[in-house]
Amino acid sequence: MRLHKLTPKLYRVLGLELFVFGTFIGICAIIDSLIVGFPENPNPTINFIIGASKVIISIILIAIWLYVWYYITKRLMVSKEDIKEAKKIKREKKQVKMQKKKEKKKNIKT
Amino acid sequence: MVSSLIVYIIAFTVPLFLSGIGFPFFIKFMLKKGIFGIDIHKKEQPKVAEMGGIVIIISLIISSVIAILVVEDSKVQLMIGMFCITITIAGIIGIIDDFLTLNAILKPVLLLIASVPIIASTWFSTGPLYNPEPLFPLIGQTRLTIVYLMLLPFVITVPANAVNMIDVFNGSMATTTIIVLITSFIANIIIFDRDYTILDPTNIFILMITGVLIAFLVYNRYPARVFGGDSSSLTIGASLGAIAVLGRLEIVIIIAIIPFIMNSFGIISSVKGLLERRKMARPTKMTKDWKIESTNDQKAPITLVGLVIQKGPLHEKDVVKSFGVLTVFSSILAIITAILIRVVI
Repeated sequence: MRLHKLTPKLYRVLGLELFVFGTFIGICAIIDSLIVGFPENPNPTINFIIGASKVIISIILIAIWLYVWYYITKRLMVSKEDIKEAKKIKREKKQVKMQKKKEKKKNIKT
Repeated sequence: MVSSLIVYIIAFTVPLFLSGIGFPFFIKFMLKKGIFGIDIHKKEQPKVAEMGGIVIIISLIISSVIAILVVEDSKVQLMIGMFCITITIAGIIGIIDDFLTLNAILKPVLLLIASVPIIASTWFSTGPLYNPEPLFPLIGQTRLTIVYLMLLPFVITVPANAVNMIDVFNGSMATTTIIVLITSFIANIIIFDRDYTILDPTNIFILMITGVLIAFLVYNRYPARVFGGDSSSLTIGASLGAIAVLGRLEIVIIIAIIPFIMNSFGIISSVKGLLERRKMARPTKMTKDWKIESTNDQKAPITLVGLVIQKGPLHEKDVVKSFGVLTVFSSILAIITAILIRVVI
């Protein structure tokens, strides 16, 4: 198959790649403007705490980015029918649980 | 004194030549000894020689020794040596896996050993071979000394497993990795402004791996005459990790291997953890006209292949082409990343 026929089939994955890249650059921009640009303190103890906080916040942001990437990849790889079926099974399980709870309550009352 | 350009030419041509000559003999030998696999994606179900990674590892070891002899700078010699040891450890783990089929958890754990030479360089009298100050787009140089050291053990095992998971079709691993390596080469030039007159170990590593992979692709492309096995994918994956750390191209390589990571994410999330490939349900099956389609098996792992064939069955060649398209796109994004890094350093 020629590439121009193949590429339209991949638009969802290409879109995800672009999204992953865009959000990463966005996070870098946030880190650069809000975290790296944060002024340093003359007190070394406070300065150390500020430095450590900067690293921790940056790591949390990167971790969120990785999780969002993971979550979307997972969702994208499952077809719409599978999602519908999974929701249906979840709903059914919930209903069974609710019914059991109701029956338990009735039994206690009686 | 040997000029940098000659070193680069040697770094590229020696592994290309060695593996180019080695593969035909290896294929004959393995078929004669009965060490082969069946290519289940072909109608004829041909016998294909396995464990092509052995040729890759031997070629890279010889090339590294030659490069060390040719280069005169002791730090570059040390870096080539450490690079060679790192990928050899990963390769040996791959060979053991090819023979014994290691547990899916044991394999990544064992691969942690491959990063030991790089971590050990922290205590070298010449100073560490890596720089714990990765370069981020728009931010530039960051100081992550402790965090970086904590992440170092995973630097080999993560890309090695990601490359291992993408090595499922004829030429899929070699094609995509060559694209990533070319991107790394361009990014290295963009970020550090190093042309051919400056001796840069990162360029030597990239050229060595590219050379060996081009020769491998000749024999592994559709219809494959040799399978790389885990010995090849783990070696090549480990080399990507080592290039990222030793060449300060961490972020560029992460962006370039987005399709690899997506594939790993899919597999790990669907089987809820790490599971040996042979123990998983098959996610694909062949149609009557020998195209690849989804099995729709709920127990099968969700892979990048599944995503590519979601809109209908595809020929094996087209699946590999799709992987190529996805990697080219991520590589363009990686080059943009390199430009955004260059702007701020």
